[in-house]
Amino acid sequence: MMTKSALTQILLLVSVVSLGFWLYDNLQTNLTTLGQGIGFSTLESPAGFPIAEALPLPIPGLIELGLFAAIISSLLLPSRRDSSHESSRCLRTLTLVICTWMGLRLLTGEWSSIRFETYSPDKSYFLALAIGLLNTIKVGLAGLVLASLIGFPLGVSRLSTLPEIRMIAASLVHILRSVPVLLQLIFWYVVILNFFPLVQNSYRFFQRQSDTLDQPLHSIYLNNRGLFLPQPEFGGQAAQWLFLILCLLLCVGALRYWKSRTQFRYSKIQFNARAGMMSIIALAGISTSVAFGPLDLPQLDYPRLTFGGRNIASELTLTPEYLALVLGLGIYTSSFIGEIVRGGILSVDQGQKEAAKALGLSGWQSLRLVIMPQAWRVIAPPLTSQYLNLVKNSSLAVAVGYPDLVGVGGTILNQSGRSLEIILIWMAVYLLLSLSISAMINIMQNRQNRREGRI
Amino acid sequence: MTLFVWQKNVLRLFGVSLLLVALTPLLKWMFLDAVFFPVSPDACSFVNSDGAEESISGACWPAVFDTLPLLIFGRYPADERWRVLVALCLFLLGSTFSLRSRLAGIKLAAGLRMMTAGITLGLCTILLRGSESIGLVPVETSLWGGLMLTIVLSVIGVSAGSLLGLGLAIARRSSAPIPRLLSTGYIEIIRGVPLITVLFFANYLLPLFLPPGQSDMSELSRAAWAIVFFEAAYIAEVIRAGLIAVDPGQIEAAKALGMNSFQRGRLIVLPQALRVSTPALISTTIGLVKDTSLVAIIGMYDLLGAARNVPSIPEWIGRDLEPLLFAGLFYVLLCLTLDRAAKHYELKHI
Repeated sequence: MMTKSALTQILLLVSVVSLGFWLYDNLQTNLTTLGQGIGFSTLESPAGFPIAEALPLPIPGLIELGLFAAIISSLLLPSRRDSSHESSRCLRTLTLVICTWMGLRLLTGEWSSIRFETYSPDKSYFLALAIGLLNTIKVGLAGLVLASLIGFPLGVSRLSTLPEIRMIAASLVHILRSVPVLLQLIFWYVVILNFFPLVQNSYRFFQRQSDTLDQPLHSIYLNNRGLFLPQPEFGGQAAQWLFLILCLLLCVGALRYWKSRTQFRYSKIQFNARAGMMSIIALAGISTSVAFGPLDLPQLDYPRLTFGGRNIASELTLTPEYLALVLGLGIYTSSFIGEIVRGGILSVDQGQKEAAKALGLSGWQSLRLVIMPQAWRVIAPPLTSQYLNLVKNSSLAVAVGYPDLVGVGGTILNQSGRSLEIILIWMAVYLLLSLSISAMINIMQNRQNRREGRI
Repeated sequence: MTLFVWQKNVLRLFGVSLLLVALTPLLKWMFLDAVFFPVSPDACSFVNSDGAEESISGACWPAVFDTLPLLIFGRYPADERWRVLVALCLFLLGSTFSLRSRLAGIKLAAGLRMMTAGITLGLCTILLRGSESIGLVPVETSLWGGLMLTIVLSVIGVSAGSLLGLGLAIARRSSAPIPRLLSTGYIEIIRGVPLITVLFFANYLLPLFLPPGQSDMSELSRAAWAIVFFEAAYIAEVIRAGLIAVDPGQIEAAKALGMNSFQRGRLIVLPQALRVSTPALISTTIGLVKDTSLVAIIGMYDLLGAARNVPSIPEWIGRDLEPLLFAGLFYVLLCLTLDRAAKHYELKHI
């Protein structure tokens, strides 16, 4: 509806660009008045503030980065049945070879190109921001899992035939969606701090043997200082355990894939190339793990009570801030996921449900075998955008005192006054995350549409 | 689902008992063990058997009753609070007049309605802000707070955000490349970042973009800019969906009738597009009302900020959950009302 004349467009472009230059000019003048310039070099100076929760940051070497790039590109390439390009097949084989080689390196203990950087107040601001990003990822992953675990049953319950269940689920969703997420986060934080028991009276789980008979010992403690869990100690064999678990998952994946391809062919067993390759790699991995030395079971490092039971310490602690964030974000997002799941299930044709019933499938079976696979297509895009929303909402961690990317950045902003650089870093990180996930959704949707013949 | 009766009853029992287990401690704390009157700080503590002072185990609702003016008006001067109520009534009257297409059987012209909306908003602003020349005591925007500030920010966000969003949506749909690219870039960037980042941007950087010597913006205007910029992108996406939903045949018929693009837009495309996108716009408005609570992080005292501030008052130290529940109740009421308005609109027009 705008006039298409080139003159108007050029005028618009010129005015926008000149506005931009004027704003930038003002910015420069004001920053110079404040005694600051524009540059990222000051972010290399020592941070000078502690971060409450800082896991060691793994910094991958070149080989790990190459491996990561190879895996991602092999996932995004068209599958072997769609494309007959030699190049994609070569890349896939190359990826699998690289994976096997990396696994063998792991097992022989040469996992040396990754180094772990521990944070301390004399490290740079950049490391502080990287730790903040790591904390954001920690919260995001846990929140995603909780939100999906609660959200899917909530969505299905809203369609239950029992009116009581339906009413409970509907009111829960309505209330959760009407209260702002910040209020919910602060609510859970206040509940954990004020209403969870003191250390002396913690909720205790999994009693274990104790040397001193005056106080029984447990493995898991829940109190107002957080959730204290036993930390598994791998003794340097963590990478080997990880590799073994990945090989087992690959085995399971190969078997399921083979089963799904041969399910309807009763006459002959079809040897499928993808399943075959996966299982060969998996078996190779498992046999090398067995051959290269037995893996000891990890030792558990239990929580220790100190000060006569009034304080507690553990290697693996979930702080109240982290718990409040995960609970608050998970429960808030689960209501949205519930609505999306409900919409997806309702979008499936009524005839499908009736046909499933006519075939004698029970409600649960029809849901799992008939309705969900079809509903999944409708659910997947809004579901991934809700996951993105969860990660963006995790930026509110600054309100409960959790040092995520925005929290750490806020401290740096207040301390060094470098508002422009910090805000640019924030926007760049979140934009990278959002745009890459949206791009991946697009690619997968296009692939799905092509596979179904809807081009 | 083919369940037997006993299985259904087991499920019912499970659901209800889960609800009771989760809600009983909360309801017990909120109502059974709670203290409601008298409204004084020593109502919430008593002297226990050791002679020491102990606070009650339930909720202390006098904390909310006593600080209710703070939660609703913020630090607005007590003598001038009538202006807030008058502004609210004026706003409700004005919106009733301008959002309906006929009043008492008389059809209202669009231009009249837009003028009414503009005049109402202007009058409300003058009433709240005050000025010497008309005899009202000026009240600085830094004193505005509580529920009033939430409503002010929401109204500014919706009105200015809708205008900007409409422009962005039309630009994104245009066939000329430059408006399309500019608006697409703006929308995708804003939709990819969290609101708190935009709030920090407006709080720290926006004053720096103004000419030197004029770079102080009040906190309210910074927060308002942030909310308007942020929500405009989301509203633009909703309106764009509505624009796409308009039948191309309508546009071709309008072109055949010789209308230019302005006439086409005003008479044919926009009425249909906005009618289709109104339910989604209302749910975006609900999201906007909830998003205004984030200004508590940059230090403004809207409803949530005031509720967080109550435990810092010396008389009500430690009473952090009661004001939060009260604020939550208000948000639920606001959002459920808007939700019902959306459903009513959907039933009437679709």
